[in-house]
Amino acid sequence: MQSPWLSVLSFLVVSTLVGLGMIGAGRVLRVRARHDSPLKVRPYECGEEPTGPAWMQFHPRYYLVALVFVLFDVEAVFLLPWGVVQRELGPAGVGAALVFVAVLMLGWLYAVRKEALKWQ
Amino acid sequence: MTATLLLATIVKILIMVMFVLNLAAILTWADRRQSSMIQDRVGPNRAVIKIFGKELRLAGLLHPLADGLKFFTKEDFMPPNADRLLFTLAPIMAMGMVFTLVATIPFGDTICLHQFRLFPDFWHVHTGPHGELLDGVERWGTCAADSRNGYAPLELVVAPLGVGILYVFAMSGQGIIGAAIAGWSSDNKFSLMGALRAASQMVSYEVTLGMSLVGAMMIYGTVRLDDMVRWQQEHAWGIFVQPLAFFLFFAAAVAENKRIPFDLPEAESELVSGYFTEYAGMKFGMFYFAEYAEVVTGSMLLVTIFLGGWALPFFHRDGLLVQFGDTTLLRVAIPHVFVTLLGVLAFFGKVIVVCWIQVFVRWSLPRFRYDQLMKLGWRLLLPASLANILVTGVVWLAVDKAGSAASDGLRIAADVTQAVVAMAMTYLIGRGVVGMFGTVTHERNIIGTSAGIAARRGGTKTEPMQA
Amino acid sequence: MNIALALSPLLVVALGALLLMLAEAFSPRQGGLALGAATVLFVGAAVAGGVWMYGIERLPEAASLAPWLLLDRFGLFFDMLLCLGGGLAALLAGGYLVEHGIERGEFYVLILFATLGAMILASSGDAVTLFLGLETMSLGAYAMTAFRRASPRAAEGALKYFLLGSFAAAILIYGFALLYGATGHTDLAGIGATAATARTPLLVVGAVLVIVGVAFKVSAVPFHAWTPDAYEGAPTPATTFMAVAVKAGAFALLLRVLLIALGDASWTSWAAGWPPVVATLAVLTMTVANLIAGRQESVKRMLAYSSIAHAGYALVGVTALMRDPTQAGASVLFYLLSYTVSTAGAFGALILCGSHGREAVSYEDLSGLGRRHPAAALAFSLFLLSLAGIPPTAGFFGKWFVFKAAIDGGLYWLAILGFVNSVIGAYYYLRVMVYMYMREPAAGAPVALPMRSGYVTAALLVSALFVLALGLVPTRAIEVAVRAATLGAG
Repeated sequence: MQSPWLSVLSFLVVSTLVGLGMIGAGRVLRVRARHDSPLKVRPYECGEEPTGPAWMQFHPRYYLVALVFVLFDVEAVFLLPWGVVQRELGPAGVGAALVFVAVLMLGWLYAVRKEALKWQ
Repeated sequence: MTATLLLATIVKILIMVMFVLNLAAILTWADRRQSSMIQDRVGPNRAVIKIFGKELRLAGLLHPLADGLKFFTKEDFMPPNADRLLFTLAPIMAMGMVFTLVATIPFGDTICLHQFRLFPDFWHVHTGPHGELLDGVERWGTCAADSRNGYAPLELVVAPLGVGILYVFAMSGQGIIGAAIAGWSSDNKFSLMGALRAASQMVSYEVTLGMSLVGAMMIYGTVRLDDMVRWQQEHAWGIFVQPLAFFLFFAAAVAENKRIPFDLPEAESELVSGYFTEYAGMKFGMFYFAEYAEVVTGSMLLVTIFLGGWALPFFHRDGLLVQFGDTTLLRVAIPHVFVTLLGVLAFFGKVIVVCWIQVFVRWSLPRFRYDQLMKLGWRLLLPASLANILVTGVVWLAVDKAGSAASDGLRIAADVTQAVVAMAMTYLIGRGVVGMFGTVTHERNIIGTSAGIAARRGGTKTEPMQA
Repeated sequence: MNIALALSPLLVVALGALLLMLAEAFSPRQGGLALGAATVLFVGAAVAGGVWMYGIERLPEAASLAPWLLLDRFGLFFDMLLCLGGGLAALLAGGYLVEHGIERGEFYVLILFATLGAMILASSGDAVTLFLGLETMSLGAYAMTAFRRASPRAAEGALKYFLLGSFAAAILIYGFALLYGATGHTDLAGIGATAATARTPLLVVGAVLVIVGVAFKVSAVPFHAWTPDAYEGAPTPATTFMAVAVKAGAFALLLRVLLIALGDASWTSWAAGWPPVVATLAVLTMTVANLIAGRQESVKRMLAYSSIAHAGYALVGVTALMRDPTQAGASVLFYLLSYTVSTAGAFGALILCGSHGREAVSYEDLSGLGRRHPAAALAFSLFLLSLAGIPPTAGFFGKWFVFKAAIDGGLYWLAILGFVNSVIGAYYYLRVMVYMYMREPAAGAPVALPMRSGYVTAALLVSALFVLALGLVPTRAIEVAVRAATLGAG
């Protein structure tokens, strides 16, 4: 195994095959329904008549969470390599990270104050 | 030699996949057993095999088997308006991610194989003149390779990636996609809501997951998972050096698994089954299975990063060495192959224990409300993980400034933590063994634990219930 | 500490933005941040001026930030220019947002962050910081465009702006990726050093993509499609900001790229370099924008096309960089300065002409303004004259220097085309004045009532001061521009 990525690839292949195999086996062994009733194929809404399509507009707060997530995930991207070499960098490194985190935390404070992360 | 290593890789993949598959299957059983114990009921007892007229129930262990058969033979239902490709792809993604993630998790230390022999020289103890450094085997996971006596390293990890933990993050991020496209493609409002909740919950806790590990990485100084374990083997377990990060990571990992108390995306009382409401048959089975597999992989990560991985207290690659600071109490040289195999057992044992803790957590805690979930993630765990990072940085600086006295003190403290762990493990294992041999009292009428407690306190009070 | 001094214009704006953001979040009442934002930006401009006076050459540590940030006089000039433009936009917002009931503090914070982005863009000497600044600037501008949430026009404009802007940024960064692939450098100087010697197809494609990306940002024809809709949909102060600061920042980027990365003789030759490309852009931009602007019925849209046309005039100066980088660069810088104050003033006057419930958008809205509100009409006329390039104003010398640079560079035809276009442009500027002074509103038609606002008045006064000062005594400013352009070339 020259490259460990080759192992990753083989693992990926194995896991996909496992997944496909499970679905394939399910398809072979499944019981076929004799009658297809119109009620069975209806989207399940607790027995109520379904109203409208399921692909509907949803609340924008999900986007807000996604946006804030991107902000902090990018922060994590920058902090991860810093964390590994932090001891070599010394006080200057800690200071730089402190400023970096502080600026982002101001953004966090703003988001909290504006209730962007609050679920009414 | 290449053929050997190729074979070894296949064996390693099989070990990991089989372990995850089987433990996940057993966990479904353990989950039910645990819940029945906590809820004071009998638990799974329906599945029966009749052999020679005898009914075998095996404490409900047949249930996972029965479940599996049922998944295969159920009708493979797909809603008529669903997006057929994505609907099929989602469970494969959800499960494939979990499996691909375990590729980088090391389950044992590097074994040094003798290059010129077919069978490795297991029995030979490579002691030096004073019994200290061992020929061919070094502490930091490398094998000495001189021309006469070359050793080839066999790393007990499927893919020893240099990027280590970053790969784990990349893969665990894929889990969101599986849940999101499952809900989106189902053509059902409950599914869509479940998918949205799943996506926003998982991204919220993913940040904490990443941040809590930065602190650990600062301590270990590496992103490689095997080097993290080696650091813990030589110093102290991660839970002692990064206690806060441990709890943050644990909470975030449970949240990523979408299990109680974080099971909002699939909350039965609100969203039927959340993003897999419309799934049936094997595809549902795959989601169900992926959830338990995620418990296993999450536990593996937790063990690797915070609970010493394959490390056992005082066991080094070259044998047992009980040492406090510079005082050596006990030194026994053991062939490194045996130490490594013991480590493999220790790793899987620890994973099982952590899995059990997760099951226990699931049946002990009530579910959060969604706003509480968001509040916890964004307003408590995230700042706490950032604070952890900064405090760690400052403490490291202070230690570096304080000089040798401080590092000596830390050295001894680290050895003490190893001793604590050793004693705790001995106690727990001893307790377990004693418990196995203890007498079990079977009661015909099972009295609830709460009723029992009430009886001991002098009976239940009959007061009108508050409206 | 010297490094902090060299960075101080950026630091002032950055800290001010953060403080204002927190003040916005924590203050109990809504808004009231216009003064703060304008103060921060004018202080930023003053600090940049102070650093200029002190002499950036006396701060050797500033070089330690190269190539990420090039703290030179070129950057300082743009710091002053951008802070001035942003500050004027903030002042205008202080009047406009309150009057039209969309006062929310985020607007000022966005102005500050976008200005900061533009300042970083103007100082950056590396593709990475450059992109960082570009995105900071653009994201602020996108959000400001969509600030009138209830208005479908704003949403349409903002979405177009966002999508096309993102594409442009992608094209730009793809171009830099190709340049990196061809040269192995992400810093402009490194690209320049390699680009001078080894000219490969990859390098050419990369350079073309970069120029296209920047052309989007300066809204040069044929990459201008987003501009009228975005400018019209945005609240007028945001339009001002986009027309002034975003455009200036993009020009700073263009100048840096052309002077440093592609400034070598082989790239600046007419036969095989970028000058014919830029010249084509300039001609197209001037001509198309002027022809369309004359046909607009909305004054705001006319001003949007006018800002496109002005980008064309500035591109004439950019083309002239091929012969004499210093003189032509100085002419572009001076042009941008005069354009900034004139455009900010024109938009400000437009804001002043409308009040709550009705903005002045069409020519009809302005008819009879000369009698109804002589001061507003006078101010508007002044800025329109400057935009048209009539002598005692800043616009005249702006055009004069740009065309002179073109003539000195031997580009007579380009100068003549520019001059012809100025004449076309004068038509629609003067048309506004005709409506203001010579038409009466139709009987019974609703007219826009001028608003009263100290902020807008202050902005107009500052702009008018600059327009007249630059028009009457341009020598000092052109000296400053020459010094800025000299260092920019080096």
